[in-house]
Amino acid sequence: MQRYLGFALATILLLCSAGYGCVGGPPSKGGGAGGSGTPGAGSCPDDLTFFQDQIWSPILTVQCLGCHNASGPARGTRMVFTPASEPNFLALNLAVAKTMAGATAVGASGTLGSILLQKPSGQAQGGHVGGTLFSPDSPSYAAFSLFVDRANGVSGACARSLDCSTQTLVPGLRALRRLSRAEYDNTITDLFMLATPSTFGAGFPADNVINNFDNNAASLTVSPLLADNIRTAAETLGASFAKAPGALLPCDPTKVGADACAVTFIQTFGARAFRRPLTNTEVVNYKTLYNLAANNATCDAPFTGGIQLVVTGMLQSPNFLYRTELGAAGSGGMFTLTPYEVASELSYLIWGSMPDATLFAAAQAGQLATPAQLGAQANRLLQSPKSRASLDHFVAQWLDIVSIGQVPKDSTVYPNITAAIRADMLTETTQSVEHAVFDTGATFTDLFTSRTSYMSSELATFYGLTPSGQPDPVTGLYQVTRPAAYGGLASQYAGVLTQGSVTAVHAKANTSSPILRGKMIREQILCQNLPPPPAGVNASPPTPTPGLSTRELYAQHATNQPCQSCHTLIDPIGFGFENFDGEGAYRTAENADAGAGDGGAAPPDGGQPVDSSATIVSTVSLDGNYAGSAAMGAAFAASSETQQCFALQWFRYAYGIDETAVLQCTVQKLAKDFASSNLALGQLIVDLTQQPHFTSRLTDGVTGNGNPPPDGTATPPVSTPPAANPLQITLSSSEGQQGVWYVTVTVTNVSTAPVTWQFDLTLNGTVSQLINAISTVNGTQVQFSGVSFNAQLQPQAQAMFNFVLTGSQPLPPTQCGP
Amino acid sequence: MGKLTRRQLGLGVGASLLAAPFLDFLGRPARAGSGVAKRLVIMFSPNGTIPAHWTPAGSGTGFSFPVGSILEPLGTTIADPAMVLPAAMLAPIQSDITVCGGIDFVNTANHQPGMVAMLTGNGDSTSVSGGMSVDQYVAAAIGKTTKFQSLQFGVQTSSYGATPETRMSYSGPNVFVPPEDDPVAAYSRMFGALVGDPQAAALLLNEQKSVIDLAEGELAVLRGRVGAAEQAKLDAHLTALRALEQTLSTPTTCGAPTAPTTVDYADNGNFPAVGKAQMDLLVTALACGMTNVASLQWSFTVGQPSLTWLGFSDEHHSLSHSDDTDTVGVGKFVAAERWFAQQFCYLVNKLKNTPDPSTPGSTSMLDTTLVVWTKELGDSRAHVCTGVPFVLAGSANGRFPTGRYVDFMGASHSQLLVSICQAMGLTNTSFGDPTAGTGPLPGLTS
Repeated sequence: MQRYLGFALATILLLCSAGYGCVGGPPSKGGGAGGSGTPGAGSCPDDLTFFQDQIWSPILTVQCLGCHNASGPARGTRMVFTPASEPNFLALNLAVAKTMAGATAVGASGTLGSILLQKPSGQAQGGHVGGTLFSPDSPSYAAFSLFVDRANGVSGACARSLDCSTQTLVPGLRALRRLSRAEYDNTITDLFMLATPSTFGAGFPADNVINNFDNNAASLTVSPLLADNIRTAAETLGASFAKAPGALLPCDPTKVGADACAVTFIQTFGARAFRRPLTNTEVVNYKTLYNLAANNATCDAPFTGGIQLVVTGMLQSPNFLYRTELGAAGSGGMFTLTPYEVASELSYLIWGSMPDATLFAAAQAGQLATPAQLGAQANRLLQSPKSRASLDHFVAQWLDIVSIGQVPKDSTVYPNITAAIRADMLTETTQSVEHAVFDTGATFTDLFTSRTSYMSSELATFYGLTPSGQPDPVTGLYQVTRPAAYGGLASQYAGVLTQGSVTAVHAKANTSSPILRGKMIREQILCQNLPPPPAGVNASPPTPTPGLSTRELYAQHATNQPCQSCHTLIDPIGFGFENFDGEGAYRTAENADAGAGDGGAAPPDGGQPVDSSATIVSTVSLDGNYAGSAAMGAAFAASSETQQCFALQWFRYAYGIDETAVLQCTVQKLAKDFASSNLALGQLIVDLTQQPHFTSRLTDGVTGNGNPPPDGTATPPVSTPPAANPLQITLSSSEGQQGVWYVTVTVTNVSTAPVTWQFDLTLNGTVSQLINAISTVNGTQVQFSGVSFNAQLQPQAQAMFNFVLTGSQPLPPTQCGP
Repeated sequence: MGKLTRRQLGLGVGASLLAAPFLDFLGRPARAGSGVAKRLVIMFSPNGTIPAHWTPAGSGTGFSFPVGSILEPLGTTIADPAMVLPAAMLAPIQSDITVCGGIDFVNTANHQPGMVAMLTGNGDSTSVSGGMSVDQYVAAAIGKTTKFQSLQFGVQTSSYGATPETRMSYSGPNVFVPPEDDPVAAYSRMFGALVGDPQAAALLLNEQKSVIDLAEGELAVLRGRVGAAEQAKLDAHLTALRALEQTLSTPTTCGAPTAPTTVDYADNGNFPAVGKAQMDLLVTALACGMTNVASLQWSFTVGQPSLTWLGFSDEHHSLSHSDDTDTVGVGKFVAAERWFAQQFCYLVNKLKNTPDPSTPGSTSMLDTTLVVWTKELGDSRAHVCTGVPFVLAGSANGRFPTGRYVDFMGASHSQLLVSICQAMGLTNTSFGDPTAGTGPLPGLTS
């Protein structure tokens, strides 16, 4: 949170001019903000609609009304709301909210402001019993802020809108993004081109989970345990690589010399490990590491030992472990991400892994700049099978089904939900989304309405369904279409929302759970955060009475205060899912004698028919009664609220950040684009690459320009000698620290007779640390000839020698011979 | 003179004066209230309690555990229903413990805030404790010379990832110190690096340190390119690398014990076996001097382990919400909590039966170890953090009189956190948010 409070001045001005409430902003007109507590005199023509759509439905009823009602824990405060069951409730509540908007106090930071803003955002002197509901940089705070300005008659407030999708979009901040465990494993697999994917990351300590996603940049840090695990993995990977480097070794040390090949390896492997070319300083540092290990190997296998330590070191480097999104400084506090940073953004968004050679080449050529170029790459990456695993990872987190393998189930009640079935359930759901992304014409709507999914034959048996046709040749899965009706009653199936993965995870060990299902819909599909039950309230669920339906068991929540104000948000949604029991099987009756898993085909033996009627409240456009989960699913698919929530979930996953008031504009734009592309899922993913946040960033408060430290010069001061029969001379050189060059010369006798070789090189600089040759200096000419064992070369034989040219810190040579 | 047992030594001031000739032998100070423990062990189990079934009968040294109550296994050997813990290590520990009632988390309620406040006292960067949890704060002070500054062991803590509900140790505000949930991985971290040839070991260490030095240099370069928020991340990484260097540079002096059996450590059915393996490794780590600060975290707040070995499959958090009228649910929850009490009993017995390696002739590490069994809530049904149950074991080298039940009448748990620090030899008089209370817990040392 702290970083957002430190906005650059330019950004504050931008925000204020864009129409957001600024803490300590312009003084109000009219009676409101003088600290007297008198109601704000401001009013706008659309006050009631604004209040209902922006404040009451999405925020107050979800996060405040639970306590701030006539019988709740906050009934003694100044802010007591009237429930929707009362006549004229909206106007009454608007008046209460306006009074609170005009009530000011000195906040915790010493600034005067409205307590309607201070209390829920953790900024009130003396705190807020209900806790912090949203942060000061959040969209909810921005909505409250605009409401306060309108209520207090701030000039121009009535005309300000929270719809910023058409305004100039502002990107987020520069950031470092540590690889998550999943990203680590994918990256290792690609970096080493492993036939069997890496599983080292799966053994690392669990990543921080924010909003259900494991790749939130702000929260991913390295603990001592993680550093130790990273080390162990790096040492193991370094050792196994060195034994069989294969195609990842771009040169032959026996031909060009170990030192030269080591430098080439450092540059080429390093460029992939760090996802950008290495600086010259970095080459020197890793050559030093190479030398250390090569010397330690007591010259038995210096090259192997040396590159092993290079790899071990690189895999522990922050340049490998973090993706930078820092960019190069531009004007006005704006930074432009480098092409290599953009390449990583693309590959990690769509593959959860490092860029491929094509993406690196595009970065090098500067072809990752325009929206068209980015869109083309995004579409290319989506074609690859690697995109499916990353999409699956999003799905499992979005629907909160990551724990499908561990969630406890009572084996006497649900004997059939084995480990294999659980895994198959996850596959069914990820396959549904994959089909929606990759198959022509399938959209967001299909996710919540299609009755067709793909599953193993065992899962079909579990559900009591019949697969049709042959299994898919690639996946081995059968296409299965659920019936339109069970026992004469319309099916309540609602796409992924009612697949086994979701309904089994969001259930108890031995029965269904309307609370867990309602909560999942609220938080994952509607993006509304529910506050925890207030302390001091007896939060015990009903004593199970045999024979009662779930709805009857939870009746207390519908009638008792203080339960009712919050549970009205949750249970009536969850009741709509009662056709799905605690292991995700379909049923038409509860407490029936027949075991679960008959797919509802057999008539229920006793028990009560499931009543799946549902009610949604506290939304902007989805409030109402529904026959069951199927009707809710269809409504979700068509609703801009759920579409925007889905866009927000992708925003969080793609960018690794949470939504702030400023970034909400980007979310709104994504949602609008999504709707106008007929809800094509692939398009939403590509659209993420089209936003300003993808190519630019605002300052994170860095002192200075944030650029990397200066590196060495680009052109080697060594002239290439002409071919000189009988000798062929080749040079390779790499620059160490500023002005220091490490040069390897290979001399080949291309004639048919033995040669005692000698030749001149024109050099700008001083030769030092000459190995395997002798030299004589004549001005800028240096004459080289061999030492005892290589002075005379037979036909086709080679001699190799090394030296350091100029500089204050020469590249340290290995002490072993060539 | 026969072997002095802990029980004989705990008979009060008179007895300790009589035992004076042996004090130097065991290195214990003469005065109660001034002892300093060498080791700190913290055990967490989730989802609060039901006070009526937790609170002992009586008070002071004259207390008892009602039959069927949650803590009864601490006073009577009760066979482990999971058949994992041997009865010999479930011997009564009533005289070794201080049962603490009436301790409140100030201005805190509910699962997540309780979990956060439990070991941090709601500190932040401005607090004396800097937002660290008490185990990390103590480890930072006393842990700079051991192989591991501290060790965190877990039992199925991470199926929902790392969140404020699933983590209890903090090295700074919002920076978790994660537990290791896999006993095999924990063992490997402790003993896996043993390299036979000393010269090869020295060369390897030199390479490892060079890699760390290089990474630290690269972190410094990155640090210069970013603002404060990103710098904080890199600083955490730097701290981690320094701890890693300490780990690599400090040799293991014990031979490796038998490795734990490989099991699916995330499988609910293996909960007891994993717990025992972790407790054994924890005690081994202390006995080997690998660390002096260790913790064991069972599940997490709102955690739903299903204690099927007790004959039912209801999940733990659900059971913690059994209303008083639901006698079946309450009975199951009490059975679950009694099982956790047995785990604590085993842990204390292990310490009691393992010699302190740095004290010749010692038979028990418990004398010089402070063990704290903590929870994150008081009455689970009301989601309150008043009356949060704490059980301490060990006298901290004579500092705390043990074998007592004390009702602290609503004292702030911040004071208990201060007492823990002071029992470890630290001198801070505040821990966490100072407005919640400062100074040590009155009544703990006398």
